[in-house]
Amino acid sequence: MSVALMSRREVIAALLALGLDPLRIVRGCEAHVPQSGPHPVPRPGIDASKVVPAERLRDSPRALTAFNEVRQIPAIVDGIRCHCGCASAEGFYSLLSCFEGDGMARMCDICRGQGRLAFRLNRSGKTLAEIRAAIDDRYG
Amino acid sequence: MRGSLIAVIAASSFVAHVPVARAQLMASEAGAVSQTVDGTKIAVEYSRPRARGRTGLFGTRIHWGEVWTPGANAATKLSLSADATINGAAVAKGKYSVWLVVSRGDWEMVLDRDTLLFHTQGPKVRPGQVRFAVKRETRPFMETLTWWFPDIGSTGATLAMQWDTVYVPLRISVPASYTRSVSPEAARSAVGTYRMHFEPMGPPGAVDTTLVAEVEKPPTDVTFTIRHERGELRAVMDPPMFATESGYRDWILLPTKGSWYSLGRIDRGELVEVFDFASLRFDTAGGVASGFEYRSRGDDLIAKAKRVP
Repeated sequence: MSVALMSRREVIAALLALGLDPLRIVRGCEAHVPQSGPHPVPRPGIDASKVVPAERLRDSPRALTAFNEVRQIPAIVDGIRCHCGCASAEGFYSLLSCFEGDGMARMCDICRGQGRLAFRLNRSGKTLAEIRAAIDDRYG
Repeated sequence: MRGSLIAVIAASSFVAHVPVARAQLMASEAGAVSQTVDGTKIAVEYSRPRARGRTGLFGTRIHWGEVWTPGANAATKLSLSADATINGAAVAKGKYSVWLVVSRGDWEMVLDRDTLLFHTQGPKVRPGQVRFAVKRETRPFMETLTWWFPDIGSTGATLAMQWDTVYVPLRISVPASYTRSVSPEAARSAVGTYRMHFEPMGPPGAVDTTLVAEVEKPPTDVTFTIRHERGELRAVMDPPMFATESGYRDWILLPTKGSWYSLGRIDRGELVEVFDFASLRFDTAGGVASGFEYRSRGDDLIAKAKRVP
């Protein structure tokens, strides 16, 4: 993308270090239609073994942080409904699902944002209920 | 007369939905134009007749009193992805065939829900139609009938049609995708002056620095002064995010989801852009905000601000 084709808005996004592809940042998960619904119950014994490993995220350096954070709190993230719209997709159970398999959270800043917010709030001692409320407030 | 005969034959084929083999070349080629304004898409599909040496088309080829589609072949179609107003008339979202009642005096536009009409099938008055007056102007001759958007604003656009020397502008207003008003109670805790610090750029390699280096970089520390004015939260950034271009000094805080705000930038008094890739939340304790964080949708911290005592 040349400078001439890059708006200041995109420059701002890039300058603010939001990722490699400003258009991807701005658009987010536009393939999905957000739908409200209840948060899922974390599955007993759930772990992060299916979360995309770091070595498969070399092409997504910014996403790496979110995946690494989610990997540390699978039981929390499994109790959160994703607000980007993927919650209704086949095979998706919780926000954790966005970080598993093909790792669609690599492409979706809403998924990553929810994961990172969950991690940040968990580290500051918030309960799952409080984290859900904060995520609903921001992304719901 | 020959043209009328062709039109009748074509209309018969059209109405009966009989597949007709036809060459690709058409006297009035298909065209389309669309424009999105604040999330509302406005689109026109039409066929484009050419004057082909004819002048003074209106009142001669297109007779006064005729219900004429501003196009050719199948009726011209207008679609709106959201409810809007055209020349002040409410138009529900959807697709319409477009007609003009042409006369020596004022013209009337008719939007009809039947979009399968041929150009010879101008609709009669019936429920569901939208009718409103349009003004016509005289402009330098234009060979091919053209629809276009000569003017785009933040709340709407002008959609215009011209053929020959007749120019018909339509003022379309679209619904705002954002809310501007903030209650005095909510505003009270936010109003004040803040020292705002932008976080440094991301990890090496995340941004093409050679590209960014060619564009003015925003300052890392600014003063952000928020006031409540006419029901809105307005702010001034000093120094502005970009000094060499207008529109980065004055801001508006637009309430979004929950307790979050988006920043919109004001250029010469008009809201011209909403930064929807990030939002701002105040840290409020005891009824007064001590500061705020500005975070991307991906929860990256973009800037942090502390109230100036």
